Formats: sequence, C-alpha cells, structure tokens
Amino acid sequence: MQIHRKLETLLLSPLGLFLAATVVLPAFILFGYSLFLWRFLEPVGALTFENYSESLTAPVSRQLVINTLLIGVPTTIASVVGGYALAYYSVFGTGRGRRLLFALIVTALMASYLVRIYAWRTLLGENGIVNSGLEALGLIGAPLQFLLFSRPAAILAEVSLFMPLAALAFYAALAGISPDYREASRDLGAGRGETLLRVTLPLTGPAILGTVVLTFFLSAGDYVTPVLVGGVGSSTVGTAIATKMGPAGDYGSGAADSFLVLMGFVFIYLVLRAAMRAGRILPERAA
Amino acid sequence: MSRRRGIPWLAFTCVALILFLYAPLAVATIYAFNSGTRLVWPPEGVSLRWFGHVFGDELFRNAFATSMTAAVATAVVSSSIGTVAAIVFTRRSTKLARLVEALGRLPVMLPPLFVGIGFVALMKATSLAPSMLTIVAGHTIVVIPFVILVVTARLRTYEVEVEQAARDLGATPLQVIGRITLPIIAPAVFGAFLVAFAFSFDELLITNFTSGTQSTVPIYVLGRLRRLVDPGANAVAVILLLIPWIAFGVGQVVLKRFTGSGLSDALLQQGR
Repeated sequence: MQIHRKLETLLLSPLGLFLAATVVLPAFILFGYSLFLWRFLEPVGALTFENYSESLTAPVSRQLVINTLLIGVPTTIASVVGGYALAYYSVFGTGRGRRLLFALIVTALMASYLVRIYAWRTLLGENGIVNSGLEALGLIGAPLQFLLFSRPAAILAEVSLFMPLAALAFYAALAGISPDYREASRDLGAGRGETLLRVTLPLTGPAILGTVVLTFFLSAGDYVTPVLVGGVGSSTVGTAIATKMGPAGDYGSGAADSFLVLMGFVFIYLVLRAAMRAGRILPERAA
Repeated sequence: MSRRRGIPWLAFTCVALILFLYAPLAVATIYAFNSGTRLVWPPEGVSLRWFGHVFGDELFRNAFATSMTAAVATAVVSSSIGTVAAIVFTRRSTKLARLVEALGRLPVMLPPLFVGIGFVALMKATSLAPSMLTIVAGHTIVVIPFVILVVTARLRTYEVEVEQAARDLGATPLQVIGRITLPIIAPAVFGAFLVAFAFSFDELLITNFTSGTQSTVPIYVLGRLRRLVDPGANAVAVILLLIPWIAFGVGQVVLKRFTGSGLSDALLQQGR
C-alpha cells in the first residue's frame, strides 16, 4: 500500500519528535553546558574551553583513562572472544546442544543487569562460595579479601554483562554467511582453522569491529559495576562523568568529559577499522 | 549438507562459558532461599523468610509499584509510537523515514550513561523536575530500538496484498492501517510491548538520573547493596531476575505461536 506524504509525517512525528527532544536536543544543551564553568548548579562567567583543557591536562584524568583501559580492554577481549565461541557453536555446532545454547544466550541477555553484577558478590565475597571452597580444601587459612572489590572482580562482572550481547551480534553475523563460502574453502583444501581465519572471520569483520567498539564503549560507560564490585582503584571515565552529572553537580566538566570520551571512541573506531583492514579481517569497503 | 564433525573442545568451552554466565545467578538464587542470616557456603537451610521480609518492607512495595507503573507506561508509549513509525519504515524510504529510523537505532549504540546525563541537562534547561514522566521518557528511549526490531521483523514477512485489496475496495490508507495492518501484526506489537516491559522493569543506568527521590526496584536494590551484609538482597535479586524473564518468555511463546518466529529471532536482526 502506498503511504502518502501527509500520512507518513503523521505516523513518524510521534517517534521523531520524541527522540529529537530527548536525544538530539540534550546533546546540544550538554555541549552548551560544557562551555561554561559551573558553581552551585549554575553556569558562571563567559564562554570558555577551560573544562576541556582542565580534563585533558589534569593528572586525575590520566588515571581515570588508565583505569578505564585496564578494565575495558580485558573485558572487551574476553567478551568478544567468548561471545564469538558461543555464537560459532550455536551456528555451526552439532546436535541438539546448538538450540539450547542459543536459548541460554538469549536468556542470559535478558537477565537483570544489576543482578548479574550483584551476583558476583555472593560468589567472591568474604564468606562467598569461592573463599569457603578454598578454605574447606585447606588451600587458604583466611578468606581472600582481594577477590571482591578489585579490578579483576569488575572485569569478571562486566564480561558476564557484555558477553551475551556480543554472542547475539556474532550469531546474526555467522548465521548470515552463505554455507557456500565455507564449503568452497574446505573443498579447496583448507582445514577448519584456515577456513575460520581466512573465510569466516573476514566475513564477520564488520560485526567484529562493531561489537568490539560497542563493548568497550559500554564498559567505559558502565558506572555501576566499578562501584559495586570494583573497589577503590576502579574509578573510570564513566564513574567520573556519573558523579559530576549527579551528586557533584559539576555539569560543565561532566559534559566536557562526555564529549571527550565520545571523540575518543570515534578515534578508537577509526584506528581499529584501519588495523582490521590492514590485517585483512575487514573488507576494504565494509563498515 | 556441509560436512560436520563434532567440535569437542569448542563444545567444552561453551559449557564453561555458560557456567560462568549462570553460576553467579544460581548462587544468588540459592541464597535467596537460605534460612540463615550469614552468607556462608553451604547455606544453612531452606526458607522463604527473606521473601516475606522483602514484601513486608514498605519501601520495596512502593518501589515495586513505581516499577510496574513505569514499565506498563513505557510499554504502552513505546509500542504505540514505535509501531506506527515501523509501518512507515517498511514502506517508504524517504529522507524523513531514513532519518527517524537512524535516530531510532541510535540508543543501542550509546551507553545508557549518555542518555541519562542528556536527561540531566534537559531537566536542568527546562526546569523539569524528576517524576514518573521523566522515568518513562528515559525508558522509552532504550526500548524503542527493540520495539522497532520486533515489529519490523513481522511487517517484512506478512502479505502486503491484503492491504491493496482493502484499498481497491475503497478503504482510506488510515482505515487500512487501523483495520487490516494493525490486527494482522497485533501479536508482534504485543511481543514488542512485553520486551519493552521487561527492559523497562530492569532499567537502572538511566533511571538513576531521572527518578529523583522515587525508587524503582533496581534503584531500591542498589540502595540495599550499600549495606555489605544483607541476605534479603538475594530475595529482591530473584524477583528482579524473574519479572523480565517471565515477560520475555510470554512474549516468545505468544509470538512463536501466532507468527512462527519468536522474539529471539527478531532480536537477531540487530546484528545485521
């Protein structure tokens, strides 16, 4: 059925106007805010780039970026590799396990975000199952304090948050590959490993690029995990922005940080894309 | 048929990964039914006392009511505005349609933190106080991409000819949408409604910025987690796990039954 212009506008405007008001407009407001210094929840003085220069030069920013990388990079690698393995088996694997695996991935994705973080406390806490188990085996005399409230704990929790998402993205990409390519590769004598490296991986290159950047981005923006299980050394750019825009009320600095982080991610995306093209995991014109 | 051999080490890896994903959830669930106060392993006995404890807490009951209201309102708003927009996306590719479609996809590519601080700025600039309205608006943003996915997947598979038939018989385009299109895609809209409900009920990262003094269930749990030893938290965790799972499960069954492909199939399109 042909939808005429007037009807099209009528049907699109509720969603369009809503997103314009709640996503696009706030981006401009935030940018405006970032150009002022703020005192007591109000902008003061004239237009300035001080928030940006302050964030770029302050030693604390450096530490925040380092923490973000120390949590985000291992989280991303583990989520993407694990997610790829899960997706690979649920697409190419054998037997009934395949469908069950897919159902388990989707169910894990739908499990509460907060509970997935919190649950690690019951596992890693002072009287948690890991400590009790090690004690019962006589391997340790007293509970290991460093299990919880540490960077590794934050990484574990974040991997359990983002791996199902990565798996779902890779499932879609892998299921979209025509079997002919993999068949041809094997007929030409390539083994399973060579087919994976030279056919399957490059065909899912765009999904890999997108998922790596998204996972890292989500990790950097997750301001709850570092607080709940990460402990003192885990303040990231995300927790800093959340504090500035929340309790601290330093909107100028928080907004400036957000734009710097966004630019950082565009940069990471471009570098990774170039690297993947150089490594022939991404076709020249894709993504 | 391709030559498939077993991939034993990969199967083993996948089992390990699934254990990694589910073991923490299983342990938290077991503790929720623990009769003791201390979180020692093995648990001291079985009881429902922590659930009674939680439901006896007025703060929890208020938070539960707030979450339910927000989730229903989000589901109603997002499935309505998402569905009518999706009807256009699948039929027209004008600049306006492409623009709104791209906007509708944006929220999945943005950490919720950024949507949340956008609301902080918006509320500050317009002097809007945090309320149910801002909670629902924030939730609607994050669920919109999923609503569009589920409804679009259905619109791509159904027979468009019936619409043309209705047109030939004299129906106006608006009548066709109201009396032909919407009834046919109703199961998918219902599925989208439940997905929106599930995500909204669990939303924390944006709600933190938009709820003000009101608590939703996730905000309530976050508050409880500031106490270090709190066996009751496991009971709330189980409730928070179950409600979105049930909503999603019902959506999956309904959609599979009426259209042959479930919610999970629609979600898959996201990666494409």
